[in-house]
Formats: sequence, C-alpha cells, structure tokens
Amino acid sequence: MYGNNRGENMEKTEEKFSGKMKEIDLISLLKFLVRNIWIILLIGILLGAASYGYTVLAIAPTYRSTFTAYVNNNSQTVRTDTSLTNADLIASQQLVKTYSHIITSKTILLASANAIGLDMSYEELLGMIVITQDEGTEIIRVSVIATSKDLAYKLNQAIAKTAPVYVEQIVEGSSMRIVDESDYPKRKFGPNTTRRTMLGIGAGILLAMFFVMLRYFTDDTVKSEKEVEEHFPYPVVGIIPDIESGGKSYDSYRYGYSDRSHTAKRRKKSNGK
Amino acid sequence: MANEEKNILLSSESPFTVKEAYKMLRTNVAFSLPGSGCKCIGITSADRGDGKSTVALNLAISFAQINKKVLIMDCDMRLPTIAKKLNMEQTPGLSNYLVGTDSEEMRLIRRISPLGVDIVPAGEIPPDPTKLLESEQMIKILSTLRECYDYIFLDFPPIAVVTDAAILSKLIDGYLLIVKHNRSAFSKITETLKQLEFSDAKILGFVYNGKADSTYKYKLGKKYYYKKNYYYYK
Repeated sequence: MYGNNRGENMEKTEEKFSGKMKEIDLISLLKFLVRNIWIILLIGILLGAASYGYTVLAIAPTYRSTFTAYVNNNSQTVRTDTSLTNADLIASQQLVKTYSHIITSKTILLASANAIGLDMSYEELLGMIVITQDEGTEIIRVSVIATSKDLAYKLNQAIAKTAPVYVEQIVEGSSMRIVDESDYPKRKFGPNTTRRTMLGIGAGILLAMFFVMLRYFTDDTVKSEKEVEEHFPYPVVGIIPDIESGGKSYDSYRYGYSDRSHTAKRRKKSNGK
Repeated sequence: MANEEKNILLSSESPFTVKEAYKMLRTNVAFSLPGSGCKCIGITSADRGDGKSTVALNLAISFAQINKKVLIMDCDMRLPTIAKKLNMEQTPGLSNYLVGTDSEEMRLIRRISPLGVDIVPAGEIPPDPTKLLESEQMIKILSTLRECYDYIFLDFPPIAVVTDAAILSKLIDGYLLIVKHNRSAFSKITETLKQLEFSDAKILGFVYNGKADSTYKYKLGKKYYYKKNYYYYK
C-alpha cells in the first residue's frame, strides 16, 4: 500500500500538480464568498457611509428654478394645410436648438446677471443653465441650478424677462412666450444623497467581492484531506482535529446533550459543582 | 509542565476526537510498517507552523499508551521545540553527542514517566546541523537506539526550509508528512515530496492536521445520536 517506486511517484507528483492554474470550482467559490459575506457587507456599509458623509458634508446642496416657454418662427406657422409632416417636426426641433443657443449666449446671460446685480463670469453662468425640450413640441424648459434658492430663482426670472426680448430682436419674425413662470425651489435638487449612498454601498460590495475572489484564486493552501489525496499519490493516514474548535465542543456532546445526561450530573456532583 | 504545553499533549484529559484521531493514526502507521524490529519514523512538513512537533510528540505518546517502548528524537537542530513543549532543558542533546562533547548515548535520553516516552532533545544549536546529521555518529546512535525501542520518531525540520529530513532517508523506515488545514501550500508540499522522492525516501503518507470541527462532528454524528437517546431513556 505504501510502496515507494521513486520514478513512478515522482511522475505522479509532477503530473498531479504541475503548477497549472487552480481549477475554478464555482460552488466552492460561492461558498467562499458566503463565508466572507460579513466582510463584504462591512466594506459595503463603510463605503456607503463614507459616500453619505462626503455627500452631506463636502458637497453643497443645489436648487433648481425653471420656466417654460413656447418658441416659434412666424414664417413657419403660415400654412395653407393643417397636416404635420416629418419635415415640420425636424424644423421645429432645429428651431428649439437655435433658440437654446441664443438663450445661453453671452449677451443674454450677462444681461440677465446684470439685471439682478450678479457678478459672475459667463462660463460660471453657463454652467448653471440647463435647457431641455419637450419631445415633439416647441416648448423649452430653461432651468437654473445654483447653490442658493434665491440665486436660482432670481437668475431664472431674469432670464425669463431678458431672453424673449433679445430672441425677437435676433431672429426676425420669431417669438418666445412664457408658458410657466419661474418657480421658487421648494426642496433640494442635488446631490441625490440616497443614490450616492447606494452607489457607495454597491461600489464597496463589488470592491470587497473582488478582493475576496482574488484571495480565493491566490489561495494555495489545503482545505481538506480529500484535496490532498486528489493532488498527491500518497494516502492521508491520519486526520487530527483542530483542538481549538473541534475536540472541546464535541466533548460536551459526548457527555450528554446540553449536559442533561446522568453521566454529566454525576460528573458535576463529583466535581463539587 | 506549563498549562499551555499540557493542553496540547495527548492525555486522558484530551478531547475525545483528538484521542480517537491519534489512535487511528497509530493504527495506520503500525500497519504501514509491518514486521518485527524497531521502526524509525521521520516526521516532517512543508513549512514551519504545521504542527509537526506536536503531532510527533502525541503520536509517540499514543504508541506509549499501548505499552510500546518509544523514543522521540528532536532532529530539528535549527529551531528545536520538543524540549520547549515539555518545559525541559535543551542540553545535553543530540548535537552534543554528534559533535563529540557527550559520547554517552544513554545520557542524552530523558524519560518522561507521565507520558511514557523517552526524549532526546536537540541539544545546543550547531553551526551546521546538516553535516552532523550526515555523520557516522548519527548512524551509530540510531543503530544503538534501535536495539532498545519499538518505535523511534525523528522530528525533522520542514523540508521546504532545509533538506535535513531527506539526508537520513536510508536510515528511516518511513516518513510522515504533516500538512496543516488552511495553512500548508500545495506548491510547498509538492516541493517537499519531490525532495523526499529524490532521496529515495519511503513516504508512508500525510497527516492532515487542524481539521475544522464541523465536518469532523458530522462524520461522528450518528454515534452521539444514539448516546443521546440512551441517556434520555435511562
């Protein structure tokens, strides 16, 4: 059984473990991840908490004020027929884009800022403006996002007053009519604390999983006697339990389930407990 | 003996699973080396901290428990631990005999009556343990001691660290390779085996040390289930 044929065994040792990459056993990988679930969750929570903390403490909240306006070019509205063609839609979208460019021009933005006594550069003002179009319509929404409610509202109002005048001057035969006036921001627009926190948790979990998996793939240590027997051409002749976790706990079972047995009681009595 | 060392040594106070494990190991080792006469068993591992010395000591104690004459020799002259575990003096020991400062073999032997085993500690740490193990003196002491004992266990240093264990392969009847759960690396075990195989060593097998409890309990589950019922109905 334990005969030693040097050449044969050397070949077997070489063959069985030739330094190839560790086989990926998905189930054992999953079990390894489950065993490390606490560290994964902990890192996720920590990163989420860090993300929350950073968002709340380091990022200033922003507020948004918006007005909506209808824009059109009179030459396009003079039609004899009532049908709407694809060309009409494209034309109106291009018109909105044109007006968006005009509204965010230096002339209008600086004029709006001056009207409320705001001393900011054009680039700073431009960074605060967002213009969107309602799909398939000639309605635009002009938003100002700022770190103060008052600033967002006042600047948005100023643009709502200034823009139509300039638009009509620049584009012959055009008009810009305010549909909804600027709204005073009731609540914070950004940052989205919940989303950032969840992203932090998610990133933490993914990062932790990556490192746990890395540890799994680089772990070259034996995990069971079965692995040893599968890898090498020699038997496992003895299995010694881990004294710290194994023998002691089993011993309490041996003396009686939950220590209620007669033997355990006799033992306790003789120990004087 | 300090309490900590006492706890790791096999005794009647040891946990049931540990006692059974060593009984099984003892049986397998005995069957793997049939025949009469003294058996010299080398115990080594791939790396430090695999529990090699503890297993060697406990295995020796296990054989002593069935009234075999057992000697354990600490051949790890680089980092000896057997004497330390037993809280005894390291010198005089094997190295002292091999360098010639103590030529009386029997004076090296310490009897540990409670354990029932005899010990030859490593002695003073020499500059070149490999050379000492290769010497004629080593062959001589082993052949002398073979006449006095049923089993001689030689605790060698890990082969991945130094090749001392492989040097005496011609004098050793068989080697046990200790591997530790979640600690011994496959690559190091492979290197260890290659070294031993190259030296024409006879490898009896592995001792898997530090097996986690849950799996172990499951295997013995049926046994304690019946015991539980017995106590309940008594």
